[in-house]
Amino acid sequence: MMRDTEDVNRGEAQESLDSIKNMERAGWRRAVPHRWFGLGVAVLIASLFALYALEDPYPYIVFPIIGLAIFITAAREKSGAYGRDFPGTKANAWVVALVAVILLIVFFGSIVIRRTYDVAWVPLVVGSLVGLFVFLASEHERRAYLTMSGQGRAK
Amino acid sequence: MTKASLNAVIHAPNRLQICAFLTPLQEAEFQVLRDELGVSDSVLSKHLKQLEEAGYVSFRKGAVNGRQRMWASLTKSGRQAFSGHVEELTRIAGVLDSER
Repeated sequence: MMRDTEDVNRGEAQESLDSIKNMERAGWRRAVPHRWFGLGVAVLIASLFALYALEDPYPYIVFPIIGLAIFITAAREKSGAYGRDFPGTKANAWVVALVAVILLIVFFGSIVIRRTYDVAWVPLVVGSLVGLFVFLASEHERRAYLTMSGQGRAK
Repeated sequence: MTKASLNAVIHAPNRLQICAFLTPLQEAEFQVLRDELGVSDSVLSKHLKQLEEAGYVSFRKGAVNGRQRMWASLTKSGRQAFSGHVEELTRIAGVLDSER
């Protein structure tokens, strides 16, 4: 499986490295998520949170969950390629995990406030804020993909 | 000149490009790979088969709109092997450059 590198001169090695760089950029370019994708995910997640403003949300919360699964799967199938979940360092995964924990605390906090004080607007506000956060995060990811693909900034 | 080793399975130009393209991706569809490489279905199949036999690439089959599609992804050992290969190429380019 191994090949003696004495057979490979500097020019060939550099040519291979250039080819690798070009193809990696092509991979990033293919994986750039569409702006509508981020917006769709943000709206569905926001609606999941906001539904808790209802007296009895449980018959309805299944819809944004199913919608999210269908939406993400369809977008991935259509694109033909998609990026790794946590590109880069482990720090990215930790940041995502931390944000997820904070969102869960906010989520359950809004449910407790809704039930204890009967304040229906709290889940709506929390849902809107979470939706905004998700959209901004998706835009950040989109820009990172565009940068890695050599396209610089978002179109 | 310094002596070291390159991975012969990966070093072939088309397989090198396949690995490089898949590096930032979770998965890529067969047709997407074919279009990016600019090769025929049979050529791509042959190279993917060699990468699969080396344990560097895995496949997933799925149907979209009733059509069968195949998705390829780099395995963990594939990522490690490719990373090592790139390091070696970088070293060769750097070392030989400094010898001039």
